Amino acid sequence: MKRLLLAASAAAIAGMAQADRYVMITHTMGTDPFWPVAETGGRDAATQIGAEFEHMFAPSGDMADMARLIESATATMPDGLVVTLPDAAALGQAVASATEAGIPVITINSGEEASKELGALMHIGQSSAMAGHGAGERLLAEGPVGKALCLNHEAFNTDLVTRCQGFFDALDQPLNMIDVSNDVAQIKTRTAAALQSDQEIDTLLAIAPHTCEAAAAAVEEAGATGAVKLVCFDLSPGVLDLIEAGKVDFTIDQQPYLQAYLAVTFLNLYNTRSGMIPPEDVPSGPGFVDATNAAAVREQAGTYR
Amino acid sequence: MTQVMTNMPKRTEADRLDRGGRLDRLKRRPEIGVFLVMAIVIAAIAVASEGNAFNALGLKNNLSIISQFGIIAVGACLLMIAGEFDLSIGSMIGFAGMSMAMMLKWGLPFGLGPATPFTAFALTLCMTLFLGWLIGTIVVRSKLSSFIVSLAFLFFLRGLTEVSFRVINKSTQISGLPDYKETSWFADLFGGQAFGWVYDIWFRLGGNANRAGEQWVAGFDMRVVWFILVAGAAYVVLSRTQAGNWIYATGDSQASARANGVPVDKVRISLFMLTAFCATLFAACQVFETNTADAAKGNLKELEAIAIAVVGGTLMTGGFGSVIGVVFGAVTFGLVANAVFFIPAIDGSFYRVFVGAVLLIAVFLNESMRKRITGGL
Repeated sequence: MKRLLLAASAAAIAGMAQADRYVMITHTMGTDPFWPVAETGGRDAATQIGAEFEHMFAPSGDMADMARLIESATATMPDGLVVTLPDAAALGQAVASATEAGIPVITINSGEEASKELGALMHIGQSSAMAGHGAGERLLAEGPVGKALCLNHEAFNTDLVTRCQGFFDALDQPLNMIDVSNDVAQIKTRTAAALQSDQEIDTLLAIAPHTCEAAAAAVEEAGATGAVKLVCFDLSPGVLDLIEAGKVDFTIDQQPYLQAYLAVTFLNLYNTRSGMIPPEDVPSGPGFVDATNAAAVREQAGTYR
Repeated sequence: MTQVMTNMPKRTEADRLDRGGRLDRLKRRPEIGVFLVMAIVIAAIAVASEGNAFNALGLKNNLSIISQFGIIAVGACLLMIAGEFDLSIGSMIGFAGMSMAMMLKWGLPFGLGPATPFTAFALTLCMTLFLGWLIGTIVVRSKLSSFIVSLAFLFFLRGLTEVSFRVINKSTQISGLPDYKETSWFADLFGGQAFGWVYDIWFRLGGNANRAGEQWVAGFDMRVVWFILVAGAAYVVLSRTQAGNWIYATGDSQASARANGVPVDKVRISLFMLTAFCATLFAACQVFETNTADAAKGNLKELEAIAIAVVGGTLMTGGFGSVIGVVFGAVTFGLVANAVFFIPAIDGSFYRVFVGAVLLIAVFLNESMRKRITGGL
């Protein structure tokens, strides 16, 4: 009996040792609705391949804290690391030491430029400049665009500024951006204020779903419905309602679920299929959601989309 | 008692302070410093925005932000007069917003069925008042600084909010709820509009018209009404009731207040419950107006509430402050935070610079006023 138990527990331990362990470290502060979607993607992939999955983040949003997290995750010797790189200068050292220790690393979401240099296998994400550019191009294809304004809820986030910049590059206009804060009441009043102070503005780019919803209310309030076009980034049920109601032209989906799902899947293939890996970076977006596919996306918004 | 009063001469001991004319008396009001700053800010913004900041929509929006700040600042002010701080206001807003939106989306806890705006609000208020009571009780019992205890709750409540969102909702944002203010009078009390007649009259007088010439703005946000109610009630309590005297006495010197029979502990606990109530009100107005909630709601609002109370002339050390001053402070702070966006020539990112400058100027003015009034205390 005792021997049987021992054998069983030994088998269990061996089984546990065989199960791969993947750790994802992101720069979320825990409050952004974007990252739970990515986490679901990573977890689903891990469940499908029978691996363990952990998601870690520094609630302070401090890059130094995030670098410590990467270092301590490296110390536990996982079978693969998935990291975001919003600031390659601050995180580069930690990522490089992980790759030097022989841990396969895939960067997702941000940090495309630095990914290869730090020894990561590949990058999965949506280039912010490309996505912003895509939004601008699509608008131009629909018709002439007058003066545009970008509503930024985190004006100090360089990656978000790049979204705005790419958009204005496509429109061939100088960057015109305001800091609308993260407070929904203030997003609305500041957007309405900007629309009033400059009547020439006929296009708004909101780079987050909560900004998008508040901006739609502001457009309505400023009496500019129909005169001002609103395009957005990322998804929420509210944004889908607005798209179906014709108040938002389209929104850009960078498909965060795909970023973590593919990263875990690719790491597993790399580990179990003798280093199999796509030779190029894989873009996860921009995907467009407009009136034609809003209904299909709705059911999964906030969880998978 | 009445006999003594009638026998007394017309002049009383307090009259010795009453020298000089009306202007002189006005100059010695504690709110005069922040009033000056407010007047300058209003004038400067009106000129710089070419009147846009105070047109029909501008006025509505500015008042909306002012009221939002004012509601929590009044609570913070009363608590500061009693000598305590509440750093958990912002996280309490996040918690209350999460709780209400979560119940509206996922139903009441313990399988009590779907929530109505009233039950969601009432249940949330019970929880936040309990949390306020808990913070107050810990401060009173442990004799720890309220700064530390409420700081702990800043982290605790924000974390709890985030975890609840992630575990129950799988996303840190709730949106796409039905528009409750259309169907429920109770939701309309928080998220609807009020004083529509002001805008109706304005429209009849020829203003308040949009590009198509139709009536533009229908009314002020309900939070303006709540701000007036909260500030009015706080003013009456503070200046006309025994409870008001208790609050001042508690902040001035706890030992002597206690020796004079002031229920110091009860006063402090109730004020922590008041700030929790104000935070819930703030959250309810946002949730029922926009039908959304996210885990970042209310972030940093505790510091803004304290800043406004200080701009309004409330002392960090307790025992001194006025509700009128806080109302002026909220107007100043709200305008600076919002109206910069009416001025195309100034980059919106500058608003924090202005907020910082105004904070410092107002505090300097308040300090010199206070020294003059109290004779250098």
